[in-house]
Amino acid sequence: MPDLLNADKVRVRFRTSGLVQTLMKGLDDPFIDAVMHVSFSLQAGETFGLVGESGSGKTTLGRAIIGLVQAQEGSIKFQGDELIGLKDKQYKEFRREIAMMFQDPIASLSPRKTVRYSITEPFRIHGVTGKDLGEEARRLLRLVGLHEGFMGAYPHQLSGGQARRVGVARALALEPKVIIADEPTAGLDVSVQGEILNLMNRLQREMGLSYLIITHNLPVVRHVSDRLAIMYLGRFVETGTTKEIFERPAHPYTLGLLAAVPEPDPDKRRDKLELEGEIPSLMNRPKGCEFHTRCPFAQAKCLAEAPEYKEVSPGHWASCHFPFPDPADAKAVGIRAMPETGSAPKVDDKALHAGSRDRF
Amino acid sequence: MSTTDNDPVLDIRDLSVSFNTARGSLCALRHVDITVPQNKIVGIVGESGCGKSTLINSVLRLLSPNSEVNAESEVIFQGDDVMKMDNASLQGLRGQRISMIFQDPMTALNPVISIGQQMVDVLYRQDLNKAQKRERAAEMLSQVGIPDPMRRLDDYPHQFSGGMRQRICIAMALMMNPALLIADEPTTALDVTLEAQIIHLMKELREKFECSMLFVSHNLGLIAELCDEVIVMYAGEVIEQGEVHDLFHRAQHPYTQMLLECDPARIAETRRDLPTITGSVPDLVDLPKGCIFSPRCPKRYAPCDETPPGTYDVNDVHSARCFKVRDA
Amino acid sequence: MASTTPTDVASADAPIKSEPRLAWLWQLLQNPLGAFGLFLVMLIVVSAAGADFFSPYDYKALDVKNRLASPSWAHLLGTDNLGRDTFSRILHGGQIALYVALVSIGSSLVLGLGLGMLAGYGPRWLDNILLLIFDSVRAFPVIMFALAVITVVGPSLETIIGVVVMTTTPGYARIARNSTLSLKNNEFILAERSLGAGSKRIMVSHLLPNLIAPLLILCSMDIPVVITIEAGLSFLGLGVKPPTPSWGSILNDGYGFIRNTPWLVVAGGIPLILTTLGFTFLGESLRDVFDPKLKRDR
Repeated sequence: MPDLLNADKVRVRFRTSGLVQTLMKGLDDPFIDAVMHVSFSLQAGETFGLVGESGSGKTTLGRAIIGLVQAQEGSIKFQGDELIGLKDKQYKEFRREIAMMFQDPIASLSPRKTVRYSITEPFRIHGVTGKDLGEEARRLLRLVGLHEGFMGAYPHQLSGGQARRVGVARALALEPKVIIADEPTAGLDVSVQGEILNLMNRLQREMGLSYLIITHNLPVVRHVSDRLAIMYLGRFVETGTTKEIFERPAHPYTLGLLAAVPEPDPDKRRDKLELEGEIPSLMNRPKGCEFHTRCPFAQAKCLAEAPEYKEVSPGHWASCHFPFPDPADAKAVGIRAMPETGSAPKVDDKALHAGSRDRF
Repeated sequence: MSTTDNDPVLDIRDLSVSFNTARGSLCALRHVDITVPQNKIVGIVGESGCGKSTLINSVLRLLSPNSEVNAESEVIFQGDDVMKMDNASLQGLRGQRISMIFQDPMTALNPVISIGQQMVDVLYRQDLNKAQKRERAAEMLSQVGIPDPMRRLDDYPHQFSGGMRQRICIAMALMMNPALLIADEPTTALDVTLEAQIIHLMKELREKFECSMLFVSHNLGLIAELCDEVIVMYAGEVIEQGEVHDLFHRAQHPYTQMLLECDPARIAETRRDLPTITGSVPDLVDLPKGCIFSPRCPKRYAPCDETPPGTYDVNDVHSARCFKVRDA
Repeated sequence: MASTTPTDVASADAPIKSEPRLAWLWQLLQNPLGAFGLFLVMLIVVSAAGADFFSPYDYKALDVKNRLASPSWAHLLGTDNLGRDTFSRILHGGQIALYVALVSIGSSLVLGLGLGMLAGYGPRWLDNILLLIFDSVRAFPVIMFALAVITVVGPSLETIIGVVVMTTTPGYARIARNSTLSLKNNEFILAERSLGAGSKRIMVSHLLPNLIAPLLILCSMDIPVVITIEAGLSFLGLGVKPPTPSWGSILNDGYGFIRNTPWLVVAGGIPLILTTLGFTFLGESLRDVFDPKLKRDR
């Protein structure tokens, strides 16, 4: 089955200094690479998670797919049609098929327009005539579980959860095939996060939607996505099925991320594998493996040579010279593999410090 | 300051605060009783609208002008009632005996003053000369893990990353050796790996500085990780409080139980349909007659809609505001 | 414990607090200065619009026997040096004043908005060129410029309007440009772009309504300025041509005959004062009304 969406070695660069400044400062490269050689594919009816922290490039990648930023290299194909390099006018027809939900739901609605106006905007933009817009608005509101009374509301009158639903309704107006959801649960209380996620899930079942979920929230992404990619400094450092990544993480950054998520159980406090230091600046990418500055397992090779992005087990890719092995081998270095409960792997500190320089 | 070793650092009794709004009197806090023992970290967990911001603003008397504090409320800090203090004493309290760390490190620091100067300003009450104050500031910076502190004193906030700025804020808060540190969602604006570092730092510093902490968060994981005691708030009331292990493993109030169930980090198997709590927080201007949680509670029965429940003991380290505990 | 049922029905039955229409008007009226300002403005606008209706006499009608009369029931504000009824002339003067002000400020607003939005939303090079033009024109001192133009072209209302438009447009354009620049990267604009909205739709439907409030307030404050400019030029004899009445020309006449009667000066001055006070109070109060409302987001 052909891919719905296929990205191949996508690169997005931003200019940091203008022409004059570059000359004055003597910079040889006034660009930063927000997204660097990213490849992945999305199938119909699937949910793919892009996971990363700030500066990982996940939002930029999402915006490049929908054409809000230009990608400089690589290809992004939607149902076989190339998207990179299209002008705004040419992009327009694809915007019926790919829709986006933004991180701040209230800010993403035009402040002086009613909900009715905002939801039916896609119809007007794409010149869809012959539909009763009021009826469509009501239909869309029902679809997302809001009652009609919201038609005349303004964005500042809505709660975060309600505004998110309006965002979903607007994204669904023209029945797209792909929805890119940027932090769908940001700012929502835990007791209502489920509402929006369950809604998205129901719509996926009913309408055969595919989702690209951009988030830094690991517990949430574990429940909602089929496959994941972990991003660091604009690259994919690990990709695979959600289950595989949570149970058998291969890349040290993934391990660090998983270990950093606090678990709501006071008995499970532990001396975690902490990732020290901060994310390096995109203007000063580390040499060799870009993660080596924070990696507790870094060795000489990691400083010198960038690792290849290779398959460590079927369907599971990682970019590391010494990816974490099978759970069976993990015991040798004191790493207890994950039990079925889905919590992060626990790292035995003593074994860590004792054998860290020669792992196997 | 008239306390003995066993007296709590902070003792809030019957705190009720309301705000005068165009629609009427909004009862933001009702009959809140909280105790913060010495050298303990007390976590306040609650969702939006639960009143946790109002609570910590009350401790430092930073409430907005349209607020009204009930006359019977007492906020006793090291033996003195904050509500009855004059401005001069309050000044002496803030920044020195009680410090606060805020949520957004981007906006908590003055962008046009160097961080060294801001830290030295905190020490205005100390009888030291400028060089000594700078040394103290640099020493604090190294304690919170900022490399090359002496040189960085002259840098401006924008020259630091978010995680570093929060560390600076922590350093500033601890510089005067306060007895109580209030942290209002200090890691919400940070990435998860930085969050882990800051929490780790706070644990270390608590040991070194021997202060009590009031840690406010909506993240149950952080509360479990850091706190000794937990207070759960809902719509302006304390609905459950207790020692952390007891509360997490033997939660009694239905809201607490449901909150724990909804947390995706706690859900063992992956599931596509996540649990939620139906309904929404009640209107605080027009309070329901009985228990505040009753309209959303799946376990409500006869007394719940009639009168508000009192606080009943589950054991000697754990209490909840639920008739089910009384009738258990 | 199955106490939480998985559900995605919105807990969205929380009622929307509906705001009354024209809430800003009620708020304005609650402020005493705002109410007063509104009252004055309405007074001036109605009297000017209905000048023909309210005037007891034709403003051109001469009655030399009754020249320089003091106020009486026959002539509410007396007569001028040619026996023309001052009250009628004041009313028509209001027409002139408002005509000049509204046409010039209105045109400036439209031009300024258009150019400013173009500069803010369009490509960088366009922005740079337009800014250069705006700043150069703003460098001219208004009155000097007006005098120079009038000397060359000759006095007339159209000249005044032209000069005012030229000198106020850049100010509005700059404000529109700055607001556009800051709004351009807001999420709702990004969202519209992601839906496929073109630049025209974005500028007209989404940027414009959000830019216009501060500009309208500025316009309200500029109206008395323009009226005073017109009055000043007419006072110098460089504005309207007789017999067209302008408050400034009435003032000028009155100035010459002040020893005979003070009433001409009073009659020419009072409307200017009232207009300035009215529009300024209105503008200030509108600013207060709109500012906190903008801050009232969740």
